[in-house]
Amino acid sequence: MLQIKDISKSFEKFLALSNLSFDVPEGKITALIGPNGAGKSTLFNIISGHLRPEKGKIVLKNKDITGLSPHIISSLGIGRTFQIPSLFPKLTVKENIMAAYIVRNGKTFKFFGIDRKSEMAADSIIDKMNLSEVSNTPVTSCSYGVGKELEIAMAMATNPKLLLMDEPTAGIPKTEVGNIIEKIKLLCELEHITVFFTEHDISFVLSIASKIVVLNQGELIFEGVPKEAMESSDVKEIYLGKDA
Amino acid sequence: MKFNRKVYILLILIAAALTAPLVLDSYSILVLSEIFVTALFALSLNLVLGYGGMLQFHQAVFLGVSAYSYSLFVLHSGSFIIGIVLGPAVAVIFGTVMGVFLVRLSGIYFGMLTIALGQLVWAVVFKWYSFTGGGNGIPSVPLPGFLSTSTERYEATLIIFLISAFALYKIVNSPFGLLLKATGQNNTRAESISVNTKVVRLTGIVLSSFFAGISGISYVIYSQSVSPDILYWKNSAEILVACLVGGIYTFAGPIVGSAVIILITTIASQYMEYIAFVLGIILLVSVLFMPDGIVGFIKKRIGDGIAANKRYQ
Repeated sequence: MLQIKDISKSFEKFLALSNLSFDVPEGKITALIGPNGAGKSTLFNIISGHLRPEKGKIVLKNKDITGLSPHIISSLGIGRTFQIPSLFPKLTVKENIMAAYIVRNGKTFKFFGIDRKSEMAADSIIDKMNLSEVSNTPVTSCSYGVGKELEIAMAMATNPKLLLMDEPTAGIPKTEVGNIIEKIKLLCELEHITVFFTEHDISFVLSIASKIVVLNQGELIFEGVPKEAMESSDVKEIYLGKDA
Repeated sequence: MKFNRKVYILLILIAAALTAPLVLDSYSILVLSEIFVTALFALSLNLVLGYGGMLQFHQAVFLGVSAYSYSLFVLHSGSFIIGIVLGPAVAVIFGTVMGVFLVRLSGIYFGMLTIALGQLVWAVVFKWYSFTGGGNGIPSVPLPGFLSTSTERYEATLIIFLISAFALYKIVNSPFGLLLKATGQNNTRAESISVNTKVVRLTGIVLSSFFAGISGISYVIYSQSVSPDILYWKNSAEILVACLVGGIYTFAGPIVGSAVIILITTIASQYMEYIAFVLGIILLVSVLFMPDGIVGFIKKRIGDGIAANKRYQ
C-alpha cells in the first residue's frame, strides 16, 4: 500500500529520520511506535506532504507521492488525524464534517446556495459516531473527547484508502480507550481502510495492530508482528526497558 | 418565529433607509451615503479578514483603482456604462496579481506585503501627474444623468450597498464560504481534507477586491471626485478599525462598525486634528471590553446563540 523508501530528514543539525525504509501492508492495521523524539510525527508530516524529506521516496500504490502538496496527497486517498485535535474551532461539529464532504463532492467553488449532498452525508456520519447531540455546537465549546472523535469522523469523510492517525488515544481517559479502538477497528473493516497509526500505549498497540514498526532516534530498529516485537531485545531496551 | 422577526426588522430598516431623503436634510443624507459606501468597503475587507483569516492592509487600493479607472475612463471617453464595469474589473486584476504573491505567505509577512503593495500603488497614483492628476486627483468626475441630484446619488449608494451586501451574505454562507472560513481557521487541517488552500484564499482575495471595486464606484457617486488619499494606507486602516469595532466574526459587524466610525468622525469633525486619537480610543475600548466587537457583544448579551451561529457558520 504505502512504501517508505530510504527517507532521511534533519532539522538544522538534528537528524530526525535516517535512511528509513519499510512497508505499510494493504488492508491491515500497522502501528508505528517509539519514544518521544523518535521521529514518528516527522514521518507522518512527510507522508502527508507537510514536510519534504532530504532524501528518499514515499510511494503510494506504485505512485511516487514525495513532495506533493498536502491537499493533493489527501485527495489521492491519504486521510489524517492529528495528535492534538486540529479542527475548525469556530465552525460547528457538523460544519467541520461538511467541509470535508464539500471538497470531496467537488463543490469548493459553489458560491451561492447550499450543498445538500454534503449536509446529508455529514448527518449520516454524525449519526454513526453518536455525535448528534453536539452537531450544531461550535467545536470550541466541545469536550476534548468529542474533538478526538470528530478528528476520526473528518478523516473518514475524505474517503481515505489509507488513514494516518497520530496517537488516536492520547489524552483520552483509559476507560474510553477501548471504545475508540472498537470504533477504529469497525470503520476499517467496514470501509476497507488501511490504517497506519502512532502510539505510545503498548497494550493498545498489541490489541489492534497486525504489524509493528519501532523507531528510535530516527532509525528503524524493528519491523514485524507484535508478538516478535515483545521478544526483540532491541525493542525491550529502548522502549519497554524504560519501565522495567 | 425568530426568522420572521429578523426579516421584519431588516425590511423596516431598508424601508426607512430608502425613504430617509423625505425627512432628513441634505447633509444627513450625505453622511448616510458615506456610511453605505464605507460599510460596503468594510464588508469587502471582512470577507478576507473575518472569514478568510487574512490580515489585509491594502484594501483601499481596490477601492481606489476602481474609482480612478471609472473617473479616467469617463473623462476621456464619456461612456458611463463601460466605466462602471471597468472599475471593479481593474480592481479584480489588481486583486488577482497581488493575491498570487500574497497567498504564498501568512500571518505578519502577509500583512507586511499588503502594506508594501498598497503604498506602491498609492505612490504611483500620487506621482504620475500627467495621467492621474497627481496629488490633486480629479476634482470633478462626471456621473450619468440619472445621478444628478443628491437624493438620486444617495439612493444609488444605498441600492449598491444592499445588493452587494446580499451577495456577500450568500457567499459567506455558501459551500465556498464554509471552506474559506475553514482555511482561515486552520490551514493545515483544511489541506488534509483536500482543500487547495492557496486557490481558496486567492479566490477570497479576488472576490474581496471585486466588492471593494464596487464600493469604489459607490464612492465616486458619493463624492464626485477622486484623490490619492483614497488609496492611502490610512483609508485601509480606518475600515480595519471599523471591522474590529463592529466585530469581524459577525456579518453585520463591519456595517455597524462603519456607521459608528463615520458618525463619530462626523460629529468630531471640528476637532479634525484629534480624529486619530478618537479612533484610537474607540479601538482600545472595543478591544479591551468587546473583543468580539459591538455586534458580537450584543449577541452574547442577548444570549442569542443560535443567531450568532447562523450568522457565522
